[in-house]
Amino acid sequence: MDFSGKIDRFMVTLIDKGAYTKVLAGLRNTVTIAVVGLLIGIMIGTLIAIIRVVPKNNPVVRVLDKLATVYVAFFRGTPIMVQLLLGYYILFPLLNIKLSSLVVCVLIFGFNSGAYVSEIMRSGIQSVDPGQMEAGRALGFGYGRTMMKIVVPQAVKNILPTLGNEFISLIKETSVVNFVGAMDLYNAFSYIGSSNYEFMVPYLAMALIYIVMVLLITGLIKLMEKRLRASDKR
Amino acid sequence: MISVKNIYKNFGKLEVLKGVSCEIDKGEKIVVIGPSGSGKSTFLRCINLLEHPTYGEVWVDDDLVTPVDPYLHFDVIKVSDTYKKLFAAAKAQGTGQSDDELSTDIIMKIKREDLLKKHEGKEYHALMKQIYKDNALNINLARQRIGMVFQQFNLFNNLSVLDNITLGPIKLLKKSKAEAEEKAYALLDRIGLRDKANAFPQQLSGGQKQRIAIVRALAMDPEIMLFDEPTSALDPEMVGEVLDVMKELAASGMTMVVVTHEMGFAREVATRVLFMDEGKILEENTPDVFFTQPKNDRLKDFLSKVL
Ligand SMILES: Nc1ncnc2c1ncn2[C@@H]1O[C@H](COP(=O)(O)OP(=O)(O)OP(=O)(O)O)[C@@H](O)[C@H]1O
Ligand SMILES: [Mg+2]
Repeated sequence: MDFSGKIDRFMVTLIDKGAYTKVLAGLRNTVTIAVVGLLIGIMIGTLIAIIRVVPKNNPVVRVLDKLATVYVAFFRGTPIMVQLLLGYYILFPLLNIKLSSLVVCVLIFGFNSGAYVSEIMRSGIQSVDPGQMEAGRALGFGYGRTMMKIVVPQAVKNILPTLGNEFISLIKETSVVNFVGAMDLYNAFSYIGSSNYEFMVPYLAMALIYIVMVLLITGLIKLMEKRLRASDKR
Repeated sequence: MISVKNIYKNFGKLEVLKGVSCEIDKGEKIVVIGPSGSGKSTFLRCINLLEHPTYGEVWVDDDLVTPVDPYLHFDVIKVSDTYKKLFAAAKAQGTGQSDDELSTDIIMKIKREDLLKKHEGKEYHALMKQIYKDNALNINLARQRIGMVFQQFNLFNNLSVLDNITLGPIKLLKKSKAEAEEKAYALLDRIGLRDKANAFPQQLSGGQKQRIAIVRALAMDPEIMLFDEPTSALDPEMVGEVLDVMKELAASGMTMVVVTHEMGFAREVATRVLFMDEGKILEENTPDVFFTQPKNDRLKDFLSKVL
């Protein structure tokens, strides 16, 4: 069968037989997992980054710092697929928490992203002039409040482009969520492939969707960077 | 209003302050001069505890803001295991002294012979912890009463000029937004920068930044203002505008401590000039005497270089 025939059959399955709903569901999951995962990651990452940069002058902070180090080492040192499997089949069942596979994916992606974002955020915080913290303290703000109101906002601005790259990684990594039974693009296109006994076109289409998403996000980041540079010159 | 008592500050092995004491009364304008590295900034930063003195005390009015040295406080010594043991032993011996006399003797002995150890029991630690906690609160509260202006301005880069000025009053002094902004505009009028209220720090010249930094500190209604070389990072043509604001502030009765190389300002504004070298205050006097009849050789040497 020639290539255009393959495309025709793909289109028939996709549209006339309604497989597009599966694709849309997969796309929705991919975006949900990446977006919510990144948001959770930013929250966890900011917390960890702060724990790692605060002066270590009390034992509680030192313990938290050690825990944070272990956390980051684990999530950066194991593949996300392994983390998904551990979470879905071991951690949450052990804790007796029943969650849909999508929610598990969102959480694990959030935890995983937290480890990466913490490193990004830490360098962002360290890139902010220490004079900013001093000025806040000198006014009478505590360490935490100065951090949240003055330092972190500036750090976030510095690391926005890097966070964008983290988002792109998340989008691409969502291609493993089918291991715990969440519907994703791979599921959707595999379904089309197996109903037609033809995998080339579906998988090419899948690659195309990923590329388009990534290019879109890259474009958005570029735009954001440009805006930020302009606002610096203000 | 502020008293600095016998402060020492070490950075690792480096001794930067070696016993600095200074009483600052309301309305005084103290100018601190001295060679680079003599500890002027460190001294200033110890006053609002941006640096913690290794030893010594800082008092703001009647509040001690430096952490407590257990040897200075009887209450702390009294709850220590060492004290309790010595007291019980002395009691058992029966020296015939009253409890109060005995107690004073033992406290003195503990202080004199440096007998407190790291582990002095639960009660001791609880008290120290409480004192530290009260101190930490005290420090933030004390800082609200002490304005500080930095060499590098340190305006908050993520906030507009107006927000820079109102952040402290709104969040710390719990003023309403309207009230804080009204005051901010009045202060901006005073320095002629009302039109910059919505600008961001990156858009301002150094002189404008520094004047706004002064206003930001003033918005907190501080009782005293500290200046660490406020004009050293400025282009020469902008020094004047900042000094003018500071002179006006001085004339309005503000208590000020100013580290600077501007001898003209010292002569004109200071009520007292301090000369610091190698971590000590070597000479202090009213400006007329200070500049015309210096006694210390190193001060003479220093003045001959800068005047
Ligand atoms: N955070 C720090 N860590 C280590 N050393 C420090 C620190 N801050 C200051 N020092 C050292 O303490 C000494 C005194 O510094 P300080 O800034 O108080 O001097 P200064 O009189 O203000 O000098 P300058 O006129 O150059 O500002 C210097 O040798 C400096 O290197
Ligand atoms: Mg200095």
